[in-house]
Amino acid sequence: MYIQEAHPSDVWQMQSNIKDKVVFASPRNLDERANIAGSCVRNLGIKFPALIDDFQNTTEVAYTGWPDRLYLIDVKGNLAYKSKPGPFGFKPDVLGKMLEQVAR
Amino acid sequence: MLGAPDPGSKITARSCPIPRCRSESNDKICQVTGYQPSIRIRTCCIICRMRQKWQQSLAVLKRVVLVLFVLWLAMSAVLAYAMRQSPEKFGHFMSHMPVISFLVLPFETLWTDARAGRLEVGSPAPDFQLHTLDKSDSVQLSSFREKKPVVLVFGSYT
Repeated sequence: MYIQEAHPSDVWQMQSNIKDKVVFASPRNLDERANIAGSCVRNLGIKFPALIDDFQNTTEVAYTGWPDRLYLIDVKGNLAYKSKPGPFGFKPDVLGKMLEQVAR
Repeated sequence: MLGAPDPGSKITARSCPIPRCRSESNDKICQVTGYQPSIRIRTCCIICRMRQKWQQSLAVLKRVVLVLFVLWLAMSAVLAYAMRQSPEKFGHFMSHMPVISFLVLPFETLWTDARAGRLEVGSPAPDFQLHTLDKSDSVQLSSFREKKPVVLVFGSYT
């Protein structure tokens, strides 16, 4: 779920992003967001499907997903896991364990 | 008589700036240090002065700690307010904060509280329909119900 940028260069530029050459200004429309998302998927080698949130950030607001967050939804459509807000709560290993439980 | 002042001493009980050290006779106990005047008067006065300076320093230190604590509380309150604003406003605010604020202020605690959100484990996941990156298809969350669990990874490149 590609959402609003966490550290756009025109708002809150991080030195680590400059070092990694990930420098993008805030996208002005959905197409610009999609372009940045495309770079992200290609450069990071992301294999799972990527969706783009609308420019009003509707889904991100509903899930409080900014800047990053993990959710697991069970087969009944209920939340089985909700991580703490990133970056502190972004722990894929915890999500992995929850996914194993749900998958049984 | 015990405690007779050293005739060569320049500081006598009567010249000590601490009023309680002044005494008519030398067999009285100093009210400040508790020392009997058998020790040299000069030493007693030095101890008195050291204690006085320590107490003054302690008083100053207490005021400084109190001011710093009030400042820390105020900064934490401002940070907590900023965390509840939109990402753009929060980002602009943080771009002006010194790096040390991450160490001094309870950033993680305040952030976890500010971004807690309304959803709880066990509650229904809000449905959505969004386009894929290449816009070739759209995905509706509810289409996965009764089929397979879904992992949502919210994030961005920056």
